[in-house]
Amino acid sequence: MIRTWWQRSPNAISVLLCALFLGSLPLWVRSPYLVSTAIFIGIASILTLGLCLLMGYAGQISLGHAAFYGLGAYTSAVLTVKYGVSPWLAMAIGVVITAGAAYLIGIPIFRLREHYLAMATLGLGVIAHLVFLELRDLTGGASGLPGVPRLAVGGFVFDSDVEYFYLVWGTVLLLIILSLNIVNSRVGRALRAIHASEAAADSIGVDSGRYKSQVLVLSAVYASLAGSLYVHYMRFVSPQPFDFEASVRLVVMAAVGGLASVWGAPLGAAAVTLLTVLLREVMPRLIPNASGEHTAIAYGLLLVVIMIFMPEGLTRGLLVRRRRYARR
Amino acid sequence: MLAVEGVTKAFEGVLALDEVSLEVAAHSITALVGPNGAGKTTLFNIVAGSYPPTRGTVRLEGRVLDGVPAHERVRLGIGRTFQNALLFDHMTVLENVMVGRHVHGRAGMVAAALRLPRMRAEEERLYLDGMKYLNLVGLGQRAQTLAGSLPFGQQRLVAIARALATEPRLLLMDEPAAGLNALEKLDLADLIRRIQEMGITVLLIEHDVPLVMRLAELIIVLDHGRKLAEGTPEQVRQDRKVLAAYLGEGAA
Repeated sequence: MIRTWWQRSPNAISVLLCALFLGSLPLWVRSPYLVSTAIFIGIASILTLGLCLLMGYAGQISLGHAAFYGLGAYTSAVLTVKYGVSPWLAMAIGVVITAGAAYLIGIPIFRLREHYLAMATLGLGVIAHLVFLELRDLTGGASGLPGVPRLAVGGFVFDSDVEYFYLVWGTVLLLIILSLNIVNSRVGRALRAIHASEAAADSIGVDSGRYKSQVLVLSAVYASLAGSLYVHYMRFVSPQPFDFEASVRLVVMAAVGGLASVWGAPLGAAAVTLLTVLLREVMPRLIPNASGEHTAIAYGLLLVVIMIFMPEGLTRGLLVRRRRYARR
Repeated sequence: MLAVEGVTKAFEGVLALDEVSLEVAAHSITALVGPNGAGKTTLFNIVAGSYPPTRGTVRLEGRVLDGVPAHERVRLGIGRTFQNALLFDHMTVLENVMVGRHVHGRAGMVAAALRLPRMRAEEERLYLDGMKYLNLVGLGQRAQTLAGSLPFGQQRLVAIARALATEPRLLLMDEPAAGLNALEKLDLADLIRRIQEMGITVLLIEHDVPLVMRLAELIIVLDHGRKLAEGTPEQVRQDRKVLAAYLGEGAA
């Protein structure tokens, strides 16, 4: 059977379309606020991608992923601000430190499964947040660490939001391609096998412990990159974005997008971020003296509705719907 | 081929296996029979390395397996199927068998992420291997079906293909005929013989007496964690202790 290249790799088409869409986005989205929002969505997508590989494919829960995000962010911020290290080198050091931390944490933590694993990672996230808060000499404590430099390549400085948008989303696309490759490979199949049944995976020679450790390290590396990109955009770091709530929001993004789906990661990140933004805009108009609580309640309700009607997440949910309509 | 020597397994004080010794000859079909709770699956789990015995040793072709983890034993040539198939439900039938080729592939995380040419060639080979083993159990047509949506009998066959894909020299099959209809049982007997002809030693747990009598060269009877009897189908059929265990004391 002769197949054309797009039939052989439907993902290549998706990546291409996605690149075209993103590449042209700053041309027709003029609002600086929306461009900035798109940057945050991109950073969240990188985090969610890592979480999808860990949770959706390998089936290992992490309720403390903000710890790795924060470790990358603080490594970049502290090294560039306090020690004058070049931002790219600091980013690379952040990746190495975070990967090392994830590897070491993986050794004891993967003795646990399911709910117990969730509890342990939750504790890990809380501890990391406290460390960022209390290591004042290094991190600046609750008031944070200002003066993080911009990223630059040679003489070119990423100093406008549009330029940063391209940097962040270029990284997202690259990581999507890498993740798709992993998912559709011997390693990806081994991860899904571990998710389904460790006993069965063992019975065909898959070393579950080794793969769980590897995928945790990989997702931590993604999180570290996201953290570095975040601080160089904000040019400031404080503990607040790396708290427990942040870890939960990441899990929500991954679940809304569809856990076992690489494309679900950016979709979930975009849906949850835009929902938050939209509610912040709309709620005061619906209820004149709406407070943050009202917004939080509406946000929660909408998420419940999404999960009831599309329990497998937006990607699968939309595909199933399209097929249903096509059959009529 | 396989030697189990004085294996005892206690679960929180309850003896599941009590000083069991047995040998399985190379290229033979050996059946492990006995009432429920006799310790048959426990013995499989110990041979496959799911957990260690409390006492005793397992040898594969003379090599002591103590302390070798389950996934390493696959590389040494031990394959197994489970009582409830235990397929990877959300993967296609073909993918299930392709993971079975895991130990015969090498691509790691980095090679996979970068889709190196070496890895692509390997992927092509794993695909062809997967199809070969699927065709062996007659399910080539179902390659792209989700494994979880297959009828139970076919899930069993996929599990066998997955285990064969590891290229075992010893295959442990836990009740392969349970839940199959008469016709499927005939096909299964045929398949097990073909597996033997491939040079694979088969050790199976089975309750279906006619099937065991037809296939097995050696039958080992376990009861309450002990070896009750051992012999050819003829010998076991006439063994008083076996009749007593199966039919009650009075029958013997």
